[in-house]
Amino acid sequence: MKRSDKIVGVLVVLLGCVVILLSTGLPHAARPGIPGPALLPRLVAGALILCGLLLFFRSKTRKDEESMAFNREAFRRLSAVILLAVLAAVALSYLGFVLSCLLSSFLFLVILGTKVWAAVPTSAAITAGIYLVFHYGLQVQFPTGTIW
Amino acid sequence: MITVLAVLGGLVVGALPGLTATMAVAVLLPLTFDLPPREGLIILVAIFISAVQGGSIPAILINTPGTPAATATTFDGYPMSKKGLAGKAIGIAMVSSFIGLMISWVLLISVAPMIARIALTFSTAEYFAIAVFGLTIISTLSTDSPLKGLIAGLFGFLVATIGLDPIDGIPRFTYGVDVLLGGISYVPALIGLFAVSEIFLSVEELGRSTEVVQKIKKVLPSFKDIKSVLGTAIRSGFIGSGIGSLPGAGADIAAFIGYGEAKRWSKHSEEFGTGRIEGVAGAEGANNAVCGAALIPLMTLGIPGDAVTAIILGAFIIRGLRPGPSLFAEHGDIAYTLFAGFFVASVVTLLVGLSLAKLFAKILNLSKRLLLPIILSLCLVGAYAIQNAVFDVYVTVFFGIFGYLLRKLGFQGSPIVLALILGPMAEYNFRLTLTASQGNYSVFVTRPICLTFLIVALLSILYPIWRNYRRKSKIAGGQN
Repeated sequence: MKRSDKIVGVLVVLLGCVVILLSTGLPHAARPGIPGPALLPRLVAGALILCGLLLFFRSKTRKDEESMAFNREAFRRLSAVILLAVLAAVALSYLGFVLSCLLSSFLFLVILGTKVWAAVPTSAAITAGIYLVFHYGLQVQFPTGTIW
Repeated sequence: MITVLAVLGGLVVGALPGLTATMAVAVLLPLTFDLPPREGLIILVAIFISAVQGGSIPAILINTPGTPAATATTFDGYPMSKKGLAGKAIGIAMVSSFIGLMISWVLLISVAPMIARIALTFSTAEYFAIAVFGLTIISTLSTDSPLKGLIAGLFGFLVATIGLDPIDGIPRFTYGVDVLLGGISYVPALIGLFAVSEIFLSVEELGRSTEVVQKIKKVLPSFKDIKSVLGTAIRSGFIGSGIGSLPGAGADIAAFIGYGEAKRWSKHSEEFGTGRIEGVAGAEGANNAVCGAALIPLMTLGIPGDAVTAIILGAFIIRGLRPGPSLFAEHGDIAYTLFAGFFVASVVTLLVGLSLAKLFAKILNLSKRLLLPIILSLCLVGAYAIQNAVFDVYVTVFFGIFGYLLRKLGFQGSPIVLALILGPMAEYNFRLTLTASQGNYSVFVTRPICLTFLIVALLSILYPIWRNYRRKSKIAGGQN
C-alpha cells in the first residue's frame, strides 16, 4: 500500500495541476465579489494538490503492507472480463442490444469456465429474459445497431 | 403484491454474497421508473430493508456476509449454524431485524415532520452549509483513511463540475462534446462504482474460497428465544437508529456497535463468538434500524445518510421531487405514504424472510459463474434504460473499472457518489447566497443554523484526525 499511495499521491497532484490549467479559460467572476464558473474547479484542484502531497509524504512514514501473491490466472480472467464489459458497451451502438447482450453474456460465461454447449442456451435465456422485462415490461426502446 | 415482489428481489440480492444492499437498490432502480412516485419509492425502501435483512442468511449459513452490514452476524451466526441451529439463528436474525426496523420507524414518523418544520426557515446559506456538512461527514467517516475519503470526495466534486455551469450556463470541461453538456449522471456512475466494480472483484476472487452449506430445519423462533433476546434487540434498535440518523454512518458501523454492546451487557459475554443468539440479535437489530433512521436526514434535509439513500435521493429527483422541508409541505401525501409503506415493507420482509429461508439456502448453491454474467447484463441495461442513452453505459463501465481500482487502492466509492449529488447543491447555493448578499461572505457566519452546520462540518473533518492521533499515541505509549 505504501508504494501505491506514493503513485496515487503523485497522480492526484497531477490531476489538480491539470484542472487548474484547464480552468484558466473559464470566467473567474461574473461580477465583482461574486464567484464565477472557475471558482469551484480551482478550489477543488487546490485541495486535491494538497491532499495528494499529504498522501505522498504520509506514505513515506508508513510501513509497507504485505501484498497478496499475484495470481496470474485471476488477473487474466479479470482482464478478459473488463475488456468484455468495454466491448459490450461499444458494441451496443453497432450491433444493437440483442446481439451485444447475447455475445457478451456468452463470452462471460465461457471466461468463467462454463462449457460452450451450456453457455449458448444460457446466454440466450439471459438475453431473452432481460429483453422481455425491459422492452415489454418497462417499454425501454433498445438500440438496434448501425450495422443491421 | 408489488411490495412482496420488491421484498423478494431485495432478499434475494441481499442473500447473494458479493452483492450489497446498495447494489440491490442500484440494479433494481430502473425497474421503478415507470411506476407512480409513491409505488416507486416504496419499492426502493422495501428493497433497501429486505436487502439488508437478506444479508444475514449467507452470513449464518456459510460464514459469508451477504452485505457488509451482516459481517458482525457471522461472529455468532455461523457457530450456531455449525451446531445445527441455523434455522434458529435465521429466525432470531429476522425477528431482531424487525424490532430494529420498528424502533427506527417510530422515530421516523415522530421526529421527521418536526425537523421539516424547522428546516422551512432555511435559506440558500443553510442549504449550502447542509451540503458541506453532508460532504465532510460522509467523506471522513466512510473509510479507514479520512485522507483517502477526502480525495475521493474531491474527485466526485470535480466530476460534478462537468457540464453547464448551474448559474451562468457556461460549458465547463465539455470541449465540444454535446453529451457532456448535461453533465455526468450520477445513477450510471453509482451502478458502476458499486455494482460493476463488485462484479470485477468477484471475478478476481473466484475459486479462492470454499463454501459449506448448512441445511435448515425449523426457522420460526420460540417465544422463549424471542424473550431472551428482546432487550438486546431493542437496545440495538436504538443504537442503529441513532447511528443511522447521522449522515455518513451506515449499517455496518451500527452492526458492530450493536454486537459490541450486546456482548458488554450480556451475562454470558465470554460465550460470544461460540454461538450466542444475543450476538446475532445485537448485530441484526442495529443494522436494520439504520434503514428507517437513514431516511430522516434524507427526507427532512435532502441529505442522503449513506450510499443507498443517495440512490433513493436520485429516485426522488428523477420524479421531480426534492427531499427536504418542502417535501412535507408540497408532497406530504407522498412522504406519509412512504412512512406507511416502510411499515408494511418491514412486516412483509419478516413474513417472507421466515417463509423462504430454506429456499434461499438452495439459491446460495447457484454458482457465481452463472450469476455474475446475469448481473453484469442487468447493470449495463439498467444504466441504458435511465435516459435511453448509450453514453450512460460508457459511464457505468468507466466507473466500474475506476471503482475496482479504487477499492484495490484502499478508497471507497461512496464519497464520490455523494459528492456527485451534494457538490452541485453546495456550489449552486453558495453562489446564489453571495449573489443575494452582493458578495458579502459574513452571511455564512451571521446566520446561526448555517454557522452551526459549518462548525459541525469542520469538527467532522478534525475529529477523525484527532482520533487517529490519539490511537497512535496510545499504541506508542503501550509499546514504551
